[in-house]
Amino acid sequence: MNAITTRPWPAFLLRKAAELLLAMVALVVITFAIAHLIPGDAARVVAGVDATAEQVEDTRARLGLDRPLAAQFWDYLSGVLTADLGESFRTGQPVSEVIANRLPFTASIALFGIALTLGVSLALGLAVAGLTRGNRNPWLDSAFGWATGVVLALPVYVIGAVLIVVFAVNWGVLPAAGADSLYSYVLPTIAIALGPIASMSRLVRREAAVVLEQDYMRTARGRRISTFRQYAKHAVPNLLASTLTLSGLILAGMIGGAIIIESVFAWPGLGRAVVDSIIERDYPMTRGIILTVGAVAVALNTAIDIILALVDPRTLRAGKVLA
Amino acid sequence: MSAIPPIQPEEVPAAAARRSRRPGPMLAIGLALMGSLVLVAVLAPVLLDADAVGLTDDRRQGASGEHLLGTDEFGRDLFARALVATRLTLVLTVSATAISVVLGVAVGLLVWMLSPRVRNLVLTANAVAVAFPALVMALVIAAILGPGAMSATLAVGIAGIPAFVRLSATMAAPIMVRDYVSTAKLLNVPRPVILVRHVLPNLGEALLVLSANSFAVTLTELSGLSFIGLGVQNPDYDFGRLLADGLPNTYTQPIQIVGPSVMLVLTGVAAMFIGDGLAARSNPRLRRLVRGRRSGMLHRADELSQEMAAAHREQGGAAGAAALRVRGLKVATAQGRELVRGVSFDVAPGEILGLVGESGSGKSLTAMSAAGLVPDGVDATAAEVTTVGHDLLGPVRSGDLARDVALIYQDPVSTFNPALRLENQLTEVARVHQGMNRRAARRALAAEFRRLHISEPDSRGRQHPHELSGGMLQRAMIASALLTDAKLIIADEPTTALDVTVQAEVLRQFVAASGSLGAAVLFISHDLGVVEALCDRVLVMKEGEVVEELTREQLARGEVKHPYTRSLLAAAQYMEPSAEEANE
Amino acid sequence: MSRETADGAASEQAVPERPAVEVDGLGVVLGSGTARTEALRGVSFTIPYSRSVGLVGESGSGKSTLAKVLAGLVPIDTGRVVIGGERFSAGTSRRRRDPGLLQLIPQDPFSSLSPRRTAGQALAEAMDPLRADARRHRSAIEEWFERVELPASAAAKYPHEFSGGQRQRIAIARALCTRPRIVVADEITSALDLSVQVEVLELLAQLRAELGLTMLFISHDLAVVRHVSDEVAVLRSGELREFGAVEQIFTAPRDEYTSRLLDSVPGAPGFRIRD
Repeated sequence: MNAITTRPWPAFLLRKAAELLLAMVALVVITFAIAHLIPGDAARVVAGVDATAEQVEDTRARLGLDRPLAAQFWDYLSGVLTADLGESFRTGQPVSEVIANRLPFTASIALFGIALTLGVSLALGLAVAGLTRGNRNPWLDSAFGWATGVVLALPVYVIGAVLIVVFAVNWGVLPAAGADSLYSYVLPTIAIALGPIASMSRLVRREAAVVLEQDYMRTARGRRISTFRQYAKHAVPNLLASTLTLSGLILAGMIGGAIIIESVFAWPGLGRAVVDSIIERDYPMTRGIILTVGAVAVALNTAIDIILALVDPRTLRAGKVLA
Repeated sequence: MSAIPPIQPEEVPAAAARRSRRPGPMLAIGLALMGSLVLVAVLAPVLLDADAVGLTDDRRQGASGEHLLGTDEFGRDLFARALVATRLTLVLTVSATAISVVLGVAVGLLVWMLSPRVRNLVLTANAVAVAFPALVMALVIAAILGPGAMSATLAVGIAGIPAFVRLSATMAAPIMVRDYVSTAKLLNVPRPVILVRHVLPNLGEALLVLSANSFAVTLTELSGLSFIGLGVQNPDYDFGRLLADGLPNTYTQPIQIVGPSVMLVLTGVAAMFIGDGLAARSNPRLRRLVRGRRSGMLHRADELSQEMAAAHREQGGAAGAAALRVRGLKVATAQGRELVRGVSFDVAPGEILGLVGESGSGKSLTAMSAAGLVPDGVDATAAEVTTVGHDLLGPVRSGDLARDVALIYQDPVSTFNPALRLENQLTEVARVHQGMNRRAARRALAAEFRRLHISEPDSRGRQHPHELSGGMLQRAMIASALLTDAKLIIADEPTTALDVTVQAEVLRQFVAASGSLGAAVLFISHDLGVVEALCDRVLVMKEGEVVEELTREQLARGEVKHPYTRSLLAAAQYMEPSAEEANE
Repeated sequence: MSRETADGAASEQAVPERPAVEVDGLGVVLGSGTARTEALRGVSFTIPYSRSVGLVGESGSGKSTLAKVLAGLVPIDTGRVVIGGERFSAGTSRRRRDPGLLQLIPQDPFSSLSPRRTAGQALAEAMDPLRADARRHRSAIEEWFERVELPASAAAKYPHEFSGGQRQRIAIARALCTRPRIVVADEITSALDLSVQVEVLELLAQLRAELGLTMLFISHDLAVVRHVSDEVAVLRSGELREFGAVEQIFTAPRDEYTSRLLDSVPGAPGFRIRD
């Protein structure tokens, strides 16, 4: 009864492509719907409380809200496909231009943060799990739990603010604002990575503890190979598999962290832009940025799924959503 | 499967009672902290409101006796402001968390009332939603409803729903396939009743932990929204808003961020500690065990000195080099419960010795300890354990030991590393300890596969364990033993997990292979029939002791002396009246 | 054994016309896409009332699937199943069943009882699915515990306070207390120690005699099946290889696979692993 597929990869990639497409469609629809879900008269809300009737109608025309719904959606969709996301209400600048200018700043911080998080968490979590296996070094277990618990509770903006006060104001070693040099990256990256490191190293530690208990680790021990080899060759591949599955949430959340930290460090990225656009009711800008950020997040998750399948071939066939 | 026997039923209620009376330190601190915060939330606005909003002339003052954290540019007391903000923050955070948890769990459980196809569709869509950063989702909702405390709360609450849908649906999945749920379905218990009666209580503890963690995350997100200007608006203030007010003044008056930062951290820590504390309580494995000696090791018994041990060995040496010599092996848990009580036996070269017993007899522990592989959590001591010339109580040359002693375990599925290819794992001893290169090892393995009648021997090695059946995996493990020319094979119930016909086939090949190697075999089993057919000699174990030793002929003729062996034999014969028929 | 029919008159089942269970050309396909497998193919046999049929098969034989089909947990693709006069075929196999028709005793003593409900509550759920109040049915519950040789105090205990064999007894009581027409025992002794298996089998034999049970006893263990069955069905890869009286199967098997199965049992006369 063992029906084994000999070529699982094409089916898997097809499925991933379908999911990606579904997510993108959902994104387009949701971002389109933003302007239409506003309670009350959208045009009036955008134009302002004390706008004249003429100004309201003018706004309505500019928002495209006077045209039939289908036409509006088609305009938007065709715009998205041609990378034309409209113009900002406030400045008239093309939205795609603004995004193209600002995206690299947000993306680079997020990427550095993710790299730092992955590297430190894997090493730290595995080390703690290995050292506390079989109830050795129980003090380490407690210390790790308490330390990560406290760091986890620190919001990214608090960390950022504290880092600024300590390193920029008091010691004056690192810049506190702007994105001028490579040094400017240091504080923001640490700020957004600290929380996820605490969170993910806990996750890694838990998963590593489970992996180290498995029978195949006992088999590896029975082969009398060195401890390093046991960990590196036998534990880590399985650890990556289970960690990656759950880390998607954490890593995607770093995008949110990157957005917030821009307010702390005056970072010229998309974060500040999207917040301002929401406050100013600059819908084309809001729409465009959320679409972009959402697309990046979904792409990141798909990438994680593919990496996971490369690491653990069993997931190729798991068509189920439930792990 | 661990060789350590599970806790006896009568011990569990005592442990459970102990557990519920004493909360761990983490939980206690978390609860105390949260309690104080709630107190502050209730009292501070009543007592300190004047100081918090009253505009005075004492502007931008530093910390002093009168103003513990100084004042801001409007002369408002910063300490008072930080405390008063607690109420709004807590109220909003609790509301948002409630939205996420209640709606998320409700949907996550309700999907189990749908047909599998629809359920999968819903959960796939949900997975896409989970992939969106919660902040982005919150931004969308904030964009629709505009900035404000209410919209921020709704935004964060709704953004948290997909995660809880996924968590509760995933946690409910294994419960829905449990036999007691299938039985309930058979009894026509309506689905909603099943969910409430069976699923929810079993999820309860886990959900509580997740809610506590969710509270901490929601706190951060909500305050974050206030911080960037989309949440609580002036003149209201929560921790995030206070931080936003304080940040522009970092260079001139850094103390402004201290109050809200500390409060945020304290609240978050309280929630985290409650969550972790609850998690620790519900998982007994995480609790501290008695700190005994470093467990998982084989020690020389205390009563014997080195000289006496050497003398022991001398005596044994004269009798001919046994493949395995064990004297006085004792295994106990860290709390002192004895699992193996002083077992001694020999295995002659080329002999197949069977170790028979029911669960809890200690047979697996004996075999594993004899191989020097004591599991974590137990302590093993012995007067002597020598195998093929290696003294396992002293320092060992692991390379030679790995080559000379091969191990075959019970459950083929869990024994193999799922992430590695077969040839990678099976040739490890040959490559690491005997210096065989990869290609030679691969060829040698294929040859052994062929000998054991594994189909497609040349390409099998490239496959992963999940692509093979249980019987084939066991044969692959035997092949690995053959590869290194082992002198002693320790097989722990190698065919128990296999089908009867497959078992017979694997045993046949096992006998042939070990015969050709001339290896000694220590064979553990609970099945007297297998042991009788396979082994030259049999040791019967009960509750950690060897109660009888028999030869194959004695067992076949039923010449057993110990009452326990007698009862085992009687039970076996109850199952096989064919033996009686054969004697007609 | 007498049962009240719908019109209130009691009727004896001394001379039943139809068998308790009729399986006719049953075919079941599991999985989808690349993982589709035919779990059962053209399986036909009957179980007369008050008789016990043993179903033997190794892994992949389809025996668990058959149990689930009878219990209504897996849909039928081809053929039909008639249980106590009620017909089920493709399309109708999932409709609501009368719990008095057929009950299942599951295999795993550790997951057959909800860890957060007492043994008494488990039985109460069987007697009264909606309210499941153990106090209401206390006397009936105690009576059944006595029947399976458990003390009355067991009603207030939780599953983790019992041994594996005791939990199986509770599961047996739960399955039988609704007086189902047919009982399906799915590998109920496989997870137990040998001596405990013997106890459970002896209990089952006793109950069978006492209550005139109609039973389908599924196992991978030939020896166990021999003890509790009047007839034996041998399943392999979804097909019924042989069906006959228990003694005939064990002494003069007609099918080649059945012979091989018999010879593979350690202790059997044909069991040979050394040349």
